[in-house]
Amino acid sequence: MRRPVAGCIAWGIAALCSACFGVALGAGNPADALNGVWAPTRSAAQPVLDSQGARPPLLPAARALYQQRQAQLAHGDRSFDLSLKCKPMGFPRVLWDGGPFDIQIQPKLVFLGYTWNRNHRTADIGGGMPLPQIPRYYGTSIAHWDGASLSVESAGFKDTTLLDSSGLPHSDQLTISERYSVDATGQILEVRVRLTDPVYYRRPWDVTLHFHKVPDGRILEDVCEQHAAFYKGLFPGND
Amino acid sequence: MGTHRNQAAWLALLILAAAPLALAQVGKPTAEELNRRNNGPGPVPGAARANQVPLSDEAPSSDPHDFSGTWRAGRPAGAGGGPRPGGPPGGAAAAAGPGGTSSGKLSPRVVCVPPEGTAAGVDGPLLIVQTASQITWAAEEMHSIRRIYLTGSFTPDFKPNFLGEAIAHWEGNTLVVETRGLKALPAGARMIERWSKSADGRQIEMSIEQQDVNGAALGAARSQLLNWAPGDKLLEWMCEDYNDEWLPGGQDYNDQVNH
Repeated sequence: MRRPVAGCIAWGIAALCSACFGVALGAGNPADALNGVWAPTRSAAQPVLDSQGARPPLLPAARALYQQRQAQLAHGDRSFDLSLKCKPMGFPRVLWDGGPFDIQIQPKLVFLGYTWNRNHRTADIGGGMPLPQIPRYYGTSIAHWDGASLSVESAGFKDTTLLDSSGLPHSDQLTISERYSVDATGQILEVRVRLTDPVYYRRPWDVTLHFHKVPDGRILEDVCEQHAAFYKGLFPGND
Repeated sequence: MGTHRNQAAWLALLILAAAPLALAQVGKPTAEELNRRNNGPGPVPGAARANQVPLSDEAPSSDPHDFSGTWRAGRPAGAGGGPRPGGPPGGAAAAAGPGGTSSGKLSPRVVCVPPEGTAAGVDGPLLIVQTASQITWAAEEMHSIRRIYLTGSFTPDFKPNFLGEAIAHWEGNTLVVETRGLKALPAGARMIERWSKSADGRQIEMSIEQQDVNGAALGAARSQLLNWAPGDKLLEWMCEDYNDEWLPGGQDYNDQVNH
């Protein structure tokens, strides 16, 4: 009998916390609250867990692939992780593994620039989702305002990237919804990511992350090839 | 005479050594080529781009202080060639850097290390995103991002890197961008760019000069022109996608080293 009560309390706290986000800061442009540099408040769990702290709902095919990768990892074999060769982490992994990022919003465009190897993506604001003709590491995205929150919808992902460093897979049928909301203090950004992938996951699942604003923050230049072990000794200045 | 002969011999050797590197750069396909290959016989890249929501209105902003939008690099009529803006004082040969084939190593450019000091990405479309505090220069080429801050000051003890640290201010309708901490330049040197929009807003004219720590010019001043390219959306050009061919074990690796 205690569990439902605890569940209700947890739900109530979650609802209250949710209400804290997306509060418009005065009557100004909501983009002003989102623009800037954001750093993770803490490292993301590995493997990535959903918003309730549970393991993602893998379907059997995905579970088999994931277990195979776990076995590789146990032997120190990370060859399935192409980011070790500095190929893009892809989205959403770059959000939780890519370090601080900046958001720059214009009336018709959202720019998201990640620290990791200078990877970046854009989303057009308004209009319909263009048909993704070519799978991309960062998919094809559109955005819209939902009050003071920014929503981004993406599709058309390459299936060669991972959802996290432990090797969680996704298919090229993955679609992602993101919701960016700043709390009333203007200092905490909540990003809710909903992943829908009927090939590899039983149902849509959410990941919630928090970032703090870096006052006058600047994204440091990152050139993966300079620090990745894969490239060591291959070019001058990288000995 | 002997000295001149030696210099000529070294120059010839340098050219021979640098040729495969230049070919390597030429040999790497552009994003459009990548997309054409990936897309097979289907829609051509132009069609793919036409399907996108335009990034900007057809007309550029009439505000001379607003550089937002997509641009393509060009050169002013009558302007000569020369190194890219921000390139090392020695020009293109110096940009190839030490090492190369004679050292048994790859050129940094081949393995996707961004060009040093350049206003990166002038080989493809550029997206400029401008807010009150920042101008973001995102390039299709090598997924470069250059951030130019419109507020704040230079970071003390900034560790030099490829694109340095850039802070800008307005002088009338001209944006003056000062960049410090460029690896390609001597210690304390800086790059000064002046950006201004043409009367119709369809071009950004940039003059670029480099100065040493005492303010003396480092090489000749350069110019760069950006042309308004509405709807010319950036594609993913992930240089690293080609490294499987260009790194040890790849089919092109042996063409690059130990020759």
